[in-house]
Amino acid sequence: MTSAEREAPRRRSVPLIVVDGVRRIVPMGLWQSALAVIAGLIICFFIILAVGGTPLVAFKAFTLGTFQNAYSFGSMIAIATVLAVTGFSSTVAFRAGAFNIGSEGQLVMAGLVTAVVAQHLPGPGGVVQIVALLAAAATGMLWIAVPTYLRVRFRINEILTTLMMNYIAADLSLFLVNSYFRDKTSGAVETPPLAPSRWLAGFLAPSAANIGAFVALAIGLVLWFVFTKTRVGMRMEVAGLQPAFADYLGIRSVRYLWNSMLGSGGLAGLAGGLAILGISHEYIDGFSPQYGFLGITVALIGRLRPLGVLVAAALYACLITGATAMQAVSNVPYSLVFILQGILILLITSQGLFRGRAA
Amino acid sequence: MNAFGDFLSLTLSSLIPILVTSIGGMFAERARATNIALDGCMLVSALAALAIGALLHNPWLGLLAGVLAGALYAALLAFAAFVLKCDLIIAGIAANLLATGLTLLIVQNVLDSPGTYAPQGTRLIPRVPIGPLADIPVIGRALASQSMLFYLTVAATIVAAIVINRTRFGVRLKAVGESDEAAEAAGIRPVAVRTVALLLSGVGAGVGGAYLSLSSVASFNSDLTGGIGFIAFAAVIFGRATPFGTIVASALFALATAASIQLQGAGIIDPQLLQILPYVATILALFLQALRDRRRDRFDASETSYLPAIIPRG
Amino acid sequence: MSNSPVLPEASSDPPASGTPLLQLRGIVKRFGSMTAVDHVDLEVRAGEIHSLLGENGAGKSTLMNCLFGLLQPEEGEILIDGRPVEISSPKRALELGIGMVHQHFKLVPSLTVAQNVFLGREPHSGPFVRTADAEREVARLSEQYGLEVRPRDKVRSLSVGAQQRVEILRALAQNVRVLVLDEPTAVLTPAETDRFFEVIHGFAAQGLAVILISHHLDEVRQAADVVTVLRRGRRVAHQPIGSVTNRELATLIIGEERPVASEVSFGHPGEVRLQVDDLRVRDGHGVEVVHGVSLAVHAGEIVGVLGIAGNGQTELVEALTGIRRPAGGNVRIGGAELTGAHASALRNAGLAHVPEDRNGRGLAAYWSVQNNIDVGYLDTEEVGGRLLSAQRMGILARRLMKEYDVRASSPRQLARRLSGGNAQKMVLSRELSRDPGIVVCAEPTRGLDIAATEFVRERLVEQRDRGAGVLLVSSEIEEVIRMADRVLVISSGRIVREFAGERPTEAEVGRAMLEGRDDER
Repeated sequence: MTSAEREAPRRRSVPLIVVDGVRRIVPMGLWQSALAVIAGLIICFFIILAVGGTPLVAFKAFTLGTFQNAYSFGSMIAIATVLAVTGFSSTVAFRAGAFNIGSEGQLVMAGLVTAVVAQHLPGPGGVVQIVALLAAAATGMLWIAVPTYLRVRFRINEILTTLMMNYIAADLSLFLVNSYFRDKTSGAVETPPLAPSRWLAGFLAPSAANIGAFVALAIGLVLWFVFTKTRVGMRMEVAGLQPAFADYLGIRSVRYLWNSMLGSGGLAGLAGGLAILGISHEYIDGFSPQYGFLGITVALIGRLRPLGVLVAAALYACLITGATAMQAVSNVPYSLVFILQGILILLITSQGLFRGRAA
Repeated sequence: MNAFGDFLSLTLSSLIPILVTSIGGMFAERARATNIALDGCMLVSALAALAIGALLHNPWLGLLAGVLAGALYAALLAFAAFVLKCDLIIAGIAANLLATGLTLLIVQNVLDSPGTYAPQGTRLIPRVPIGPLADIPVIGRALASQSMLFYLTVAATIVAAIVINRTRFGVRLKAVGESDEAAEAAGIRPVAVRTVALLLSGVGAGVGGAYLSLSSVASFNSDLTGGIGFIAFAAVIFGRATPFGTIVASALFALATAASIQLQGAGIIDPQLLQILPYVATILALFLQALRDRRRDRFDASETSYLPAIIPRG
Repeated sequence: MSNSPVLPEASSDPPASGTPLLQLRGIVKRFGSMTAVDHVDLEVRAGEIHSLLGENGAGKSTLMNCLFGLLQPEEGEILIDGRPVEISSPKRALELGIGMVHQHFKLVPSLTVAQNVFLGREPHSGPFVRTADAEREVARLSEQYGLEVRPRDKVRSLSVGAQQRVEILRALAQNVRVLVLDEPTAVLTPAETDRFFEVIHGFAAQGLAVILISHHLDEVRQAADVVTVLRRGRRVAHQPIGSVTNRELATLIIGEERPVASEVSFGHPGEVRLQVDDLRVRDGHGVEVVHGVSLAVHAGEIVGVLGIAGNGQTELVEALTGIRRPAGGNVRIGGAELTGAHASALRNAGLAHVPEDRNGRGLAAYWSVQNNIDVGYLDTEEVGGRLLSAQRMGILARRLMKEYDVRASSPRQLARRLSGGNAQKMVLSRELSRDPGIVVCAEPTRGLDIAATEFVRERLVEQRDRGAGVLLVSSEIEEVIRMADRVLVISSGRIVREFAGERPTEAEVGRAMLEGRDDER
């Protein structure tokens, strides 16, 4: 048969959205992150200047507010705990060459499950906490299993599906709380407050800082260990980096994609559990100030490295606490954090900026 | 029959923001310049439309402001992708987050209203009375008192289909969307075409956003879109970025939205639960599409195909 | 490099007289230290079909790219109608009336024939394309030049031959006077080829100058008036086609008909390492492109599979190395049945693979050299015990980098920054250092400079002498003849000829490669 007898190129039904491997998007070092953070803060300063009456006071509160007292510092730790874990969630997915922008939904569903388990499961506090957190992780995995299955089996792009699962999670959790778990004495959509025995042990009282921080640290260490010290980590990395090369090496990239996505969902779920047991102590609508989305930013700032993510989470938590402090002393609102988030992602993933030094 | 007419009316009004936004998004997707920030564009333009509309007491100027804001926001995305050289998907995610923050900040600090911004006495985009035609069974009831934007959307859709199929720009759009190499060989600059396509997607999302804040209630909060931008984006994908496909997909999702609203009123199923209907429909639609495609692709060598960059870097 | 005697260059002018339409004088183009085109002259007259012959890498494409403005020559000048011109870009080339039809078409599949022909220059009123005008013009050109196309067909639905006609029409629609056709028949069926030559005779009759690049001597004889032969960047012949026989042409193309220098000794074949029986493989579109290939590779021998690119070699290698599942047949490695086994099973069975797509499959571009090497050793203790040892991984990588002369600024350097030669050495260091029983390598020296090429070949011979079986799949005649103990010629997905015993000459093998296709007709 000559080549001409083959059919003309068929219409390729590739997915319309085409995505580059994310590891290729952030190949550069942590220094670009540092520069981006500084540039982002400068932009924020000008925004504050534009809207605020007292720019210096506001900016000082924004950047240093965390360190004004133990309470603020404790709040920072509490927020950093959750952010670190959602950051790890994004990191694991990104490293596998996938986008999980559904961490928010996984986190919300897991938060609800945690609150319900912690409330209804009898037994000693510690055991219940562990069971509740495991249930949280399992919920997150379940929530990401659908998009992952669709991607692996049917090549449906996970960006849209994980995102849609966010909206489904938001409405479904509201429905479940309203219908079955609602605190009848409250006007708000929330579950009854958990007994203090169910709370993660805190420190720096009365701030929300809790032993969840050590869980986050431990996860960071485990991930660092897996990524750098184990064969599994290395295989996972190459499967995400260049699937064709992985196939050539005999690494089953599909299996690693599954594992990474489930890991990512599990971590997002765990973050939800930590937020419930450690911070809000009940499920309440809006308990997550977009922890899931912030995790993407944190993962990118930390350059998808576990220890970098820990530092980035602390840094970002500082800014969130600072933004709260800023809101108190000036008229600059908390939403500055979201603006900074958008700017940071753009600056960090830019391959056109800082190019001279990167090469 | 009246109930059906009402349902149809509801479907049409749900269709407007989805359709007009996805028609815009279709241009971008067709040029392989995925605009995943349609939702962010809608949010920004909804606020701009409402604020300017209220300030100038003219909903049409509000609409214009919304369209400009949407285009400007899409221009930001184009800047990020082609000048900063960010990945378009990641830049789109960033743009969505930025839109939330930006609108919150403006509502709170510039417009001085915490949470929800609802300027008093804002004039809405008028509804079109169709006079005696309203007596036609079903259709009459469905079309009675639809927003002017419904007709604008229908017109825009027709124009978009003509632009794609009949004009030089349409030909070049398709060329860029399929092969940069072929386009460049013919002297077409892919980045220029993509930038225009992104701007058009911003214009579409701008109309969609303005509809959300200026058609039924003149109010704005950061949850206003409820993911309509993403549903519109899904309609583009499901419709394979063709005019007809996008219309059908938008109609499908509008039907799901209308069904969820209608059934909420009926009280059979919990209203909260019904709200997930459009999102479930979206995932289901993508699933069915993939099922159809899989038959053609079953011979591919490896199960995970490596996907190249959206825009060749160089 | 040989400086063998060649046939005397014909000094007599080609048939027509007067000023040639196109003249290239003393064109020189270098890439780094390599001179791809070395003082080449070319003269083409209106109404002439001028064939440009030469092996892969002889400089044909480089020369034509200089003509079409894709490359700028370092020396020499280009004249049109006797006037020197500067060709800065393809656009300028088209303005000067030079059109080129590449082997790889630049068409938009979902657009119609007319839309493709006029892409970027659509006839229009206001924003609207005057589709009817465009279609009428395409129909007119189609009629005038005998290129059958239907203006309204979508290019997607066309056969490859019809797509080629569209590409040619696109050039003709821009009023070109010189038309360069780069291996136009490679994609055509025999019937299409015959028709195609009638068409280009028609071009010549209408006053066009046609430059035809081809590998197939019979086709050249059928079509061309004048032939220019390039070898290793130099013009070695320029004469009317009637004055030279096919055998002479083959000699001109390939060089002196000589026994290959016995630089590479023969191996000493032992037991069968790789046994392939009646292997059938489909490509990504589901079309069978390997039709029942059988071969055996023994320990201590290099078996060359030689063929013009695109005759099923890629899919054959993919099927042998666990990347593509065969549609039928049998693969045994060292006696174990491993048909359709996963790549990891094959690697564990002692298979090493040096892939054709080095940068896509052979390495992870955004990974360090160290990781790229060590990842091949993940199943061994070399990279650590139960846990990876950074120290051992560093030692292993550095040792192999030294052994295989991989030059990088450090083991941490990203693989994408390596030169082609170093990247290939890195791949070899990972694959060959594991003492594999069977090595499958595809186009192992493609794109490499001379030193790296020699390095790669030495290493492959070393593997053979160590007792490994080597399957060398390549489209380079010289490489396969020099290296292989046995040469199998593949054409259209079938092994059409085997050369064993004495090393065949390049001409013999070359004829088998070219004629293999003809057997199919």
